[in-house]
Amino acid sequence: MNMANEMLDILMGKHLDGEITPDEQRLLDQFLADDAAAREEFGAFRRLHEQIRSAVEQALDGGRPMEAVFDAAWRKSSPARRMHNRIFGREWALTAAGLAAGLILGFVIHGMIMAPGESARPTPSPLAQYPTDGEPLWPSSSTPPATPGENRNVDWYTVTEPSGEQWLLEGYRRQQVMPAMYYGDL
Amino acid sequence: MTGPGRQNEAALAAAARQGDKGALQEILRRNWGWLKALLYSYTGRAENLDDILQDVCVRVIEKIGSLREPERFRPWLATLARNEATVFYRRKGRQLPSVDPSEITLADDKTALPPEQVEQREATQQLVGAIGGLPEKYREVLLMACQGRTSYDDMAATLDVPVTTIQIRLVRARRMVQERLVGKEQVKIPRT
Repeated sequence: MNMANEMLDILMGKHLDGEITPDEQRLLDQFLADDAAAREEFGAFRRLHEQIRSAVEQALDGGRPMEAVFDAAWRKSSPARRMHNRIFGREWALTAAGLAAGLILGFVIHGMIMAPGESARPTPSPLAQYPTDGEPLWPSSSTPPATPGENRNVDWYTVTEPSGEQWLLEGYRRQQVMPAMYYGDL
Repeated sequence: MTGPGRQNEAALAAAARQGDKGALQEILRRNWGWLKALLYSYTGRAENLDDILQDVCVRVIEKIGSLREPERFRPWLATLARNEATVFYRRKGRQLPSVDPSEITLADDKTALPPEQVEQREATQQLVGAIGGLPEKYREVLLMACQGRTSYDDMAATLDVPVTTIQIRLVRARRMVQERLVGKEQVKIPRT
């Protein structure tokens, strides 16, 4: 079958299925007007189409009506599944369920990552005072050193300057002391 | 189906997903023709169709809540129907597809017919046998086009293939049926 024949077949098929556009119909009419063999072919194709449609309708004729099949299926289906759809078929219910699941998952992960000893923040150490010569001393934490197995990353200190201004410091366990992100009147 | 028709169907699918029984029944009623044709194309047996259709309905009722895109109800239904047909035959110890043209049956096969209709019935049986002998992808579009009166656009959306593929498969399906009827059993099947 060459391309022209397949093109003709497609146009004939679209015509028979009611899918042909006006431009395609003009093209088909031109084909048929110019070619007697094509006209004969079209007639045979039309008869075949009608025979197939009739045969298929006859083959599928009968059977229970759709409503009867559906009602039987409804009775057979699980009421629990139907209720599940009624509740969770709604967008807002899905969103809420997703958020709740995310929240619960977040709590679980948080609990798994955080060691029990770390969950409580250490008590801030007593104020470290400047010595009399005015040179500040780095304060030392009054909290006891971490015991083996205790996971503690930071200690907190407060320092009062001679001017009365207070600083909150955080001391990392790697012997680093860094200013906190806020200061002033604590 | 036109654009507004599709939107309407998507709205029905969305309502059905939320447990609206009336919407579910209506959307199934609209798609009943091609669904029946599609199942027949898989099984080739009219006598089992009601049982499989009922199984499909049960699955749709129970699974509609899992439909994430209501506008894609048709391809979802087509996939579910195929799975249910496979499960149905697996329960009977058979595999799908196993359509044998000689076993293709018409509905009401055992009905006694007047002699003048016997010849016509035999011709129909021969034609249905020729359709049943087509490869599945050609058989399903031909049956959907005839029984479901389904548009090319809807068939393309349902089967998840381009519209041009539907056009070509339909043309080739008709040609193959024609050639089988005139005795050319060894038809070279083109690739689409």
